[in-house]
Amino acid sequence: MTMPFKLLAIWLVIDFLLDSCGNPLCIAIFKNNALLSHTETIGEFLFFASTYYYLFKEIWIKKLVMGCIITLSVFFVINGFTLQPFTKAFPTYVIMPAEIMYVVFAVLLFKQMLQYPMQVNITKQSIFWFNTGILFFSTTMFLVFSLMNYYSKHSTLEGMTLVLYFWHSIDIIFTILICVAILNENKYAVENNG
Amino acid sequence: MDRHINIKDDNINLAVIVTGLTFAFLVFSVVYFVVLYRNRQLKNKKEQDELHANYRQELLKTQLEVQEQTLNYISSEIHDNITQVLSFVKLTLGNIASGVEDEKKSKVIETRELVAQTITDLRDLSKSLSFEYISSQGLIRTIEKEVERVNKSGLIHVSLEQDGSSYPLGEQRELVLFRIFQESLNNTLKHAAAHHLKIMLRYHTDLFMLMLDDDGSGFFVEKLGNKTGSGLRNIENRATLIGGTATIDSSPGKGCSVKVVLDPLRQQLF
Repeated sequence: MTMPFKLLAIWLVIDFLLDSCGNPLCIAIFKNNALLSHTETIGEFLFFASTYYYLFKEIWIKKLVMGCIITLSVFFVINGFTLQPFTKAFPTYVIMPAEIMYVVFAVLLFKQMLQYPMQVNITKQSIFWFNTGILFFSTTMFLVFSLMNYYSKHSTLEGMTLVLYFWHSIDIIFTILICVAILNENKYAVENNG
Repeated sequence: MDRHINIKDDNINLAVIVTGLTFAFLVFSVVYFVVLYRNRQLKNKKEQDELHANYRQELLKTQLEVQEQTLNYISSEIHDNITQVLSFVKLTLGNIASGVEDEKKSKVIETRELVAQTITDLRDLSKSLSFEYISSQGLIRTIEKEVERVNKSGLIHVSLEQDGSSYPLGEQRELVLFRIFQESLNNTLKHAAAHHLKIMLRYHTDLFMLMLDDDGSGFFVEKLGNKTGSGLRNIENRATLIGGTATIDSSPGKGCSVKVVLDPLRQQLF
């Protein structure tokens, strides 16, 4: 496998461990999972942005991605100590710019794919599945947050429950798309090396 | 209570509509991208094929130019050097013949005649290799000369037929066609063990055809398909270079037929 997809695979394992072990631990200690959300948000951003860094071909886009990683990491630390404390608040101030960056990266990567088309069926291209997953996840996140905001203001429990289900469904679909990307990449690597 | 339920239903409906629209937009975007990508792939493939074809054309052109230069060099060497030396040998033999007794004289004269025949053959060969000679004589005349030369050798009986009144095909194309003819002829002489070779030149308004048909041992064309350096592949490549198509048809025991077809109106010179 190439470096970007190795990073993705590593993140999937870390994410699984954080969700399964970190979540009950955080709730037991801090009575909420804010710290876990902070950790997942920055971890996810670092891994996904690094994946994009390796996938982009043009130097200026690579520099842009690197700039975004540094800026958001610095902001993450400031935010955690001032605006949305690590153990008390959900890191929406970090999530929102991260999601916007994902959308920008996804669009740029689709543009790059059109600029340098490969003579391989698009459904067999791991880069396509990864990018579709990111675009799907980041765009629907805005919808999730706006719906959550709306239902929390209007105090409708059914609505909130629906949004939570919706969020989990998106998360599952996203994970499936990333898995398809990794499996495709692995298959390609095996075919070419074996 | 009823009003409260209605508000809740409205909220849920709103969520479903917004979610549905978002998903529909996302799906549409991805499908649009896939279609766009497919079009780019096709365009890219077409461009790559064109580049590959141009490269191949350039390569063939260079090969032919190098080959022609070599043949011209050999032709001039035969004409200016070897035949001159042989002419001197012939003259010397003539002088010797006049000064020796009758017994040896006949042998010297016989040798002189053999040398004269060799000079004639070498001159013919030199002509068939020379680009200038082929372009000055034209395709039909050059083929006729070559047929005469081969028939004279007694190796095989060659017949030449022409259908329609001839027209010029252009220097380069005629040269390439003559080289195709030579390649096929050499193949027949070397490998076919044929007794008869029929050559057909067809001059129609919108079609020119050169066909060589022998009654030799034949072969499986498919078995030679992947040999890029074979003479038959050279024939196909040369035909492509002048905008024509070469068809080779053969099977064991049924001889071999080489057919080159081209559009005379299409001026593709390399």
